[in-house]
Amino acid sequence: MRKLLLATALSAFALPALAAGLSVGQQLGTSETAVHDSLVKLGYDVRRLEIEDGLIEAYAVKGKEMAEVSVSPDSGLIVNLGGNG
Amino acid sequence: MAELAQLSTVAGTAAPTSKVKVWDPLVRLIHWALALTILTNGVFTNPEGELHEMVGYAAMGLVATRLAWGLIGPRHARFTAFPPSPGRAIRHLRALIAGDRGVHLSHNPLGALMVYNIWGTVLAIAATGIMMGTPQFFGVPWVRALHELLFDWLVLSVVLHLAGVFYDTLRTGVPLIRAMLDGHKRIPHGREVE
Repeated sequence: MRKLLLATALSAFALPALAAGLSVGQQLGTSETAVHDSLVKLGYDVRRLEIEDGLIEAYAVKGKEMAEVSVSPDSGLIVNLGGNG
Repeated sequence: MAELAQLSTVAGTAAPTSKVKVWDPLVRLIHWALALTILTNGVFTNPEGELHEMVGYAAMGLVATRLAWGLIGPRHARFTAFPPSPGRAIRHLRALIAGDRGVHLSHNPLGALMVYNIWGTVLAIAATGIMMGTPQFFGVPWVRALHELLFDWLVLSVVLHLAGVFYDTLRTGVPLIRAMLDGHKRIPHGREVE
């Protein structure tokens, strides 16, 4: 019973993360175009794309998931993830 | 004239004034709390953080409460005491230019327009802020641009509001900031009161 509760509690945290489909450290590309295309391929509607504080920042939506993604233009990796994703 | 009958003379002051209670505690609380939320979200909070959202909801709640109070609150707090009337505002402006020094117990007609403008702007800022957190409008450039433009308008409005308060304090001799703090307008004797 205890294990079941624990599993339920864990999945409550794990599921949204899985559904988000994006995670810090994920490769999206080193240019704005590449980041845009990667997000579109993953099924996101890219609303806005800009360079902020030296990072590529994208606002993207998939269904009810809203993601604010910061990508390093050097490595192409997601360094920060905001929104409700 | 009924209003004048309510005036009571304050004894022991250099210039004789009459003290009239105009702003009830809720009006004053909402006024200063709203000022605090505007300052907080304009200067201190991270626009993308949760605190910014909570302060925004608080501002919206304060305006909503004030609007309800405008319908059911005491006399000077009611919309009927300061109807939104461009015609009255223009007449008031003409009177100011002509050197009129009359006192309004509630907001004067120009002040009334500013009050409605500030409340409406705060509500519009809250509405666009809420929109930015929905999948439909998340990241949509015009919504954020409008949210920011409305805030710039709010800042300009607050500056004009303060200028109006200082000007009217000089014009009528009624210390308006003090009135919003303790609720009483101290009106120099001989002033016409509306």
